[in-house]
Amino acid sequence: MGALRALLRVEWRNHRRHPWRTALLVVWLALPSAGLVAGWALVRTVPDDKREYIAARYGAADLLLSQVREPVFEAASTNWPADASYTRFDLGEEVLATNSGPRLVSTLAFEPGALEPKGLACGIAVVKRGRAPVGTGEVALSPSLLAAKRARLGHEVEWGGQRVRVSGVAVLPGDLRADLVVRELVRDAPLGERRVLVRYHPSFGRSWGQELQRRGIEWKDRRSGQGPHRQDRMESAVVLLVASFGFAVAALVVGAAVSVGLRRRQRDIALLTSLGTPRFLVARAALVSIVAVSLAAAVLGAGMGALGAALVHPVLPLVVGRLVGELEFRPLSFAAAPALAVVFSTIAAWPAILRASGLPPRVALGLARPLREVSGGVPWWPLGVAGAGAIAVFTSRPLVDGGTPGSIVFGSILGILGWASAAGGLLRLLGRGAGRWPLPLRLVARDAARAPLRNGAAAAAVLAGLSLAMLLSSLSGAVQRAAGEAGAGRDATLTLFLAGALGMGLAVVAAATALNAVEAGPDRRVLVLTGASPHTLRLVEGARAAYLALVGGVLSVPAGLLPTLGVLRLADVPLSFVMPWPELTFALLILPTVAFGLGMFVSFLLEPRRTHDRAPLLTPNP
Amino acid sequence: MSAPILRMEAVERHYESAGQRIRVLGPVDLELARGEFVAIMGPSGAGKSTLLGLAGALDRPDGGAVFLDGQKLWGLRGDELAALRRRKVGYVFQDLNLVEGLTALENTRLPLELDGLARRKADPVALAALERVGLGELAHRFPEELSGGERQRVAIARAFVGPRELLLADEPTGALDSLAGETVMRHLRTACDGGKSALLVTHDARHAAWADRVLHLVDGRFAHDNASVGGR
Repeated sequence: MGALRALLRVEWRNHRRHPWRTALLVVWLALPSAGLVAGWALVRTVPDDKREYIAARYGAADLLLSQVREPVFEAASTNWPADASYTRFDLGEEVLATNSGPRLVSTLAFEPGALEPKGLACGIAVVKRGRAPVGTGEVALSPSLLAAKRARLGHEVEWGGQRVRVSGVAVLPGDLRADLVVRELVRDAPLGERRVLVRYHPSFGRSWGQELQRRGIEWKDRRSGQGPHRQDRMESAVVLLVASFGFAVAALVVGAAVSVGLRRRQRDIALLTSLGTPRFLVARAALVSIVAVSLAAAVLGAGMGALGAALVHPVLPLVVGRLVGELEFRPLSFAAAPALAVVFSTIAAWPAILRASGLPPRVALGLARPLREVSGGVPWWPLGVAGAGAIAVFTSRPLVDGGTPGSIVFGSILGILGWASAAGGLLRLLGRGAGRWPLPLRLVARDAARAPLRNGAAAAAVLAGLSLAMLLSSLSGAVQRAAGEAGAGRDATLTLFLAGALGMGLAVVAAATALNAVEAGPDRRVLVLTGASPHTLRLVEGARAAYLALVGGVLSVPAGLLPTLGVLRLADVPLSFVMPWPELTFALLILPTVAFGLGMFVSFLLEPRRTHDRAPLLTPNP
Repeated sequence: MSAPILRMEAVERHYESAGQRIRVLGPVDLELARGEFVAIMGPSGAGKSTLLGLAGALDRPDGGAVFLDGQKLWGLRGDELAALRRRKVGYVFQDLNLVEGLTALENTRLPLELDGLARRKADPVALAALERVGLGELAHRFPEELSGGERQRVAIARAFVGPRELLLADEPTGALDSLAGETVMRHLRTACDGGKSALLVTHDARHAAWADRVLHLVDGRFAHDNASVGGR
């Protein structure tokens, strides 16, 4: 135990010596943890739960009478007890002239007081600002109609040939963007379908309902109302899946950072083992260290997620276009975040820990730098997997019922996996063939080839996001063209997806580049000594970032477009291939260029401003 | 008589440590003639590496002046210092001399390539430098495929490639066995006999014996005021 404690002290000091590397791990693990906690809490508030669903139809009432004709209802309700509580409301549509032309809008008309918090119609519509309209001279309008009428609360607007005052802003809880007019109900002049909300009274028996039916009035009991079935399991599965993807990407960075850290401590570890420290103890200490960092990151991330969810919740209705429920945190999310963080980071770090603790001390102590594999042939196996995926996609036959065969999905996944696994091998191949490339590119290609797993994973992360963006964009373009909407605007979801893919790609490339730059520190020193100008050093760092982005971007083209071709071939209607130019431009030009610029800029920020500000490159003797 | 390749006048260097200003070097004077091979010996912490850093424009003195091939280093910008290192000075250290991602030939031609020389012109020059240290056949090997002695010889070839005239060597044989160390020293000696100059920091008196002059640095000053006195 004493030895482990001593080794853990070494690990702790190592984290303190390299705070930026530890911070990198913490940030990457904290983000998916935050996403898990916040996402799970927010996702639960968005869809209708049964209570919200029923409130939107029954308000606070117990019974809903529909298709009501006023004389019939008056006759039927004559014998109701005096303290029976009910209210009428109308549900209709009308055409409203606006500055942008006529619009078909929904109209709801309520009796006075029905929308108040204790009113029976409370929940069917909500008056967000102002008050419910009183009399025929007032209306409450939805925000969309206020905008269309260029009116504000208190203004007068033209309505059915007369001027009416806007008394409030009203919305439907389930659709904040709906065009809605709320008016006061005129008993003898129903607008569309008249309904009545009734609170249950003990004197209502079986005969009460039979009497209504006999008179042709439909009624429903609130308790029989079927709310949407809460898709709790589905929600949880989706949130966990997305979070797991985030943790998997974070694991790439964690594995790379741990690998770089342990390589740089190779001599220390060899010294410890040569002094008699058992290898398993070294490995255990490194493992405990990474578990501790993961837990700390997950706790931090969960806290950030809870705070973020609390901050986002009030503005969520603006995003999703409906009123949302109360914020509820899932206790499971607070347990799942650390568990996933620990599992993913441990799995990612384990190979590097095993390699570092298993290196014979004489090898580790005898080398100035770790021995690494430079050579490598064509990555036949991964390319074979990608090829098998392509074959699966192109040999698919449409299902009898017209559905899409699973082989398309399977082939597409195989393709992405194949190209992603080929990334490391291709980096090695490129490193070998870089002999005639310009110096900065040659250096970074050879450096990237020395850590093919880590850099291949970074390129694969770029590939995964961009290839999916290309696939979706191309399919969407083909469908738009077939529907004769070729000139229609680009779907906002596609743009968001592309932005997300680019953001993730840049973040992963930045992390991998930073780690590569750390490893290439001694080479940078030699370059400085040999007379490389500051500009050349900046070019090298820029090329380092651009290279991984470009390799990922290039590989994303076949991985994204081949499945598209397969899907188009099987479509029921003839669809023509549409080249996703925006995604291609981003993958092949903009992402590498941005990465290049960022790499150069960071290198510029980090370089010393004056010669004597820099630590001497020769060993100082103070 | 031609001007010395290196001249240091009353050079001083201090470091800040735990809030205290510690003088690690100087004031010292030193002249290195063209074709001269000077060894500097002294205990750890005597200021040997600091002297070498100042001589090679890697560091700036707090006092005094350094002249490299007649050019005063004070006031030069980063890119001007880099150009000076490309064209005038070569370095050899105990380890980490070579860029791991470049072959022996690419490492040797690095200063020429950085200076914008076309590869077809740089390659014969670099290959000739490698052949001078007996490594022409290993030109396309990567550093990790070379032994420690071979790496140091590549570093020497690079240090003297093209027009570079001054080699600064900090314990270049520290990580080598005695045979490989002797080989490195012989190549240094040969280069100086051919007109190049070298300033060598070493702990090993046998290696220092290859030099034209041996200077002893103690507590930041030369033990004997013979820094500009020639003689072997």
